[in-house]
Amino acid sequence: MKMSKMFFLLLCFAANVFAESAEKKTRVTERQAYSQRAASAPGKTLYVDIYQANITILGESQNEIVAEAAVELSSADPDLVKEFFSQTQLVLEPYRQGFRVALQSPKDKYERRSDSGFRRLMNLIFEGNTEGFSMSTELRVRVPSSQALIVENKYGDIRIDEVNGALQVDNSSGEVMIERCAGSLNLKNNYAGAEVRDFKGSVSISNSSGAVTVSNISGDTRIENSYKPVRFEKIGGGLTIDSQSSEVTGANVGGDCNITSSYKPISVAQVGGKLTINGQSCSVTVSSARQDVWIESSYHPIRVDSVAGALKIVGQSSPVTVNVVAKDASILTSYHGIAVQKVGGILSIDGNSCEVTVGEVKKDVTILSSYKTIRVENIGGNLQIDGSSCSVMADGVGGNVNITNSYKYVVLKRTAGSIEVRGDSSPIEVSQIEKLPAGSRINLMTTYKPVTLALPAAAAVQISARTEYGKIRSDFPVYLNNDEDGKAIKMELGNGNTLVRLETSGDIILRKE
Amino acid sequence: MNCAFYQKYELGEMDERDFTLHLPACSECQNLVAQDTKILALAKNLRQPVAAPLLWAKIENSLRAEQQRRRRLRWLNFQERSWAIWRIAAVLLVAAGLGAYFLFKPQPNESRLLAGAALEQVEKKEREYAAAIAELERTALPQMAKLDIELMLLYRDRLETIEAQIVRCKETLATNPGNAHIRRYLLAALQDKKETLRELLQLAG
Repeated sequence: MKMSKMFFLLLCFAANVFAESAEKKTRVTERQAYSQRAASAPGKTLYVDIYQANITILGESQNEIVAEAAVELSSADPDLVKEFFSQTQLVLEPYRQGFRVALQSPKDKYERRSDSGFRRLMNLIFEGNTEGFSMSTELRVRVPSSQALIVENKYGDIRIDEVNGALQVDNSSGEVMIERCAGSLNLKNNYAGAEVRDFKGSVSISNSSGAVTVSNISGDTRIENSYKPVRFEKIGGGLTIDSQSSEVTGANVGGDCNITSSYKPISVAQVGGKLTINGQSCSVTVSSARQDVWIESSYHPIRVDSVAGALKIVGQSSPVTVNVVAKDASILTSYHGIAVQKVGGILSIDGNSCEVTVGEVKKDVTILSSYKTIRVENIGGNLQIDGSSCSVMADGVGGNVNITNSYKYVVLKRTAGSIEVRGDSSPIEVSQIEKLPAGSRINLMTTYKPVTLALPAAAAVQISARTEYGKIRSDFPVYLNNDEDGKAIKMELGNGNTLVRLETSGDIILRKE
Repeated sequence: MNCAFYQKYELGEMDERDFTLHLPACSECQNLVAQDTKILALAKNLRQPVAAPLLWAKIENSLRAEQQRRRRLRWLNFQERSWAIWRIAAVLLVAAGLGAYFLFKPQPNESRLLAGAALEQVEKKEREYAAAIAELERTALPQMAKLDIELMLLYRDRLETIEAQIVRCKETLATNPGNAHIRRYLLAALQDKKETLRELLQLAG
């Protein structure tokens, strides 16, 4: 019995040894912790100089720097792991105007040195092993909350929380998160997201091929990036975004906002300063801008809601929709619809082959288009339209009307000033005239198509109408005056303050309303 | 390895219910499950359809077939490597007799390193991914000439940027092959390249 117990224990021991040796043949993963601390002082800068590490830096009330690193190694050779750990140290030392924290390991030396002999030796260690030698580092640093930082890293995530100094972060291929900090931030990263939240001060971020998110920044913010989305919210100062092929979305900017991007949508809301958007082939959506807005884009829709200043849109083949602009608005685009409602100042539209719909403009409106319908309602000032092959329908114009078009209908209702329509093969209908000011004129001229004018019964006008081939019909008494070129009439109503001239080669109809 | 439950579960010797009951109490099994989840998540990136349907279908089929074979292969590997049986047996015996020794032995947790089979699997996926991208590249790059000049320059710049990132990641992985963080960024760059080539084909198509 005693022997069998002994045999059992021996078997256990042998099995354990066997198991351990098998484990050694495959791989060992070990972790070692390092720690350093040093007293700091205001005005000092901490340099964090590390490679392939996940770094967390926390600002605290104490006046010292505490650095803790956990290094994890994986290798098929346990002796190599032990040797590596024995030659690795966490350094926290005086450096330039402050301190430097760095992890000094054989690998670190290998990465940094260019000496070929040394590299060859290290290659034997790192690359000669078919199983590979792998390493991962976690660095956690606690600093005084007023600490200035310069952090350099690659292939690791960085998080900085509650540090109020000049912050400079240079990372590559690792997520960066800066939270609840103050001072100034200069952040460079690439190929991974960068996020800054609750920052008191100015922020500058350059992130090539990486997404950028900023929120609740009290100062000016500048962002450069490419290919990945930019999101912003609650920027107290000005905002400048210079992106390439990035979607840009955000709201609530206190100062001026300048956005440049291409090929991806841009959406901005609640801007306190001037808003400038330059988006090549971008769809653009803007709402609630408190000052002037300037937008340039192409090929995709542009939508603007609620601008307290002036608006200028330069689009190319972009459909444009605008609602509520307090001051002047100017829109240039082509081939797609333009819809504008509620403009407090002058509206100017240049839309080659665009269907145009305009409503509620307090001052003058000028529209240039072609081939598509133009509809205008409730204009306080003058209306001028040049629309080759456009149907024109205007209802409610407080000032003078001047329209040039061809081939399609011109229908005018509820005008209150002079009217001049020069059509080419365009039927013209004018009715429900609300006012004919003293000295005003009505000139309706076209070819081949009828001209219809409805006048109030009490209108004070001098009418001269002439047609080449058509008929003249009138609800008012007229004097017929045929000449060599066709038929003409003249008539005068009231004191004849307004001169009316009607010319066409088609029919002329004068109706009493 | 103290616990053989995960291996038993993987080999079908333990049913899912028992393993699920055991899992919350065993950090070792939790780590193995987490590692499997991580690998599957990495592999998942490879399965998005691209404009070269036959090529990707081929890859997807091979991935599926590989998954189906996985248990059988494990069993075969298990048989081939008899030391593994001894190891499990030894660990069970030692756990019974000398449990305390292993109980107090420090174990790394939440490892950020890929090793052994996990690393091999990820490397294999990367190779498959890169091969598929090369195929897609052969189709897509000649189409670039059809694009508007500015768009063409943009895509050229973008592909160059991605390629530089892939090269950097590979160089870094040469000396740190098991670092999961760098592997993740290499896969992200490969995926980015695939997406960009797909976009390019769609635009030129």
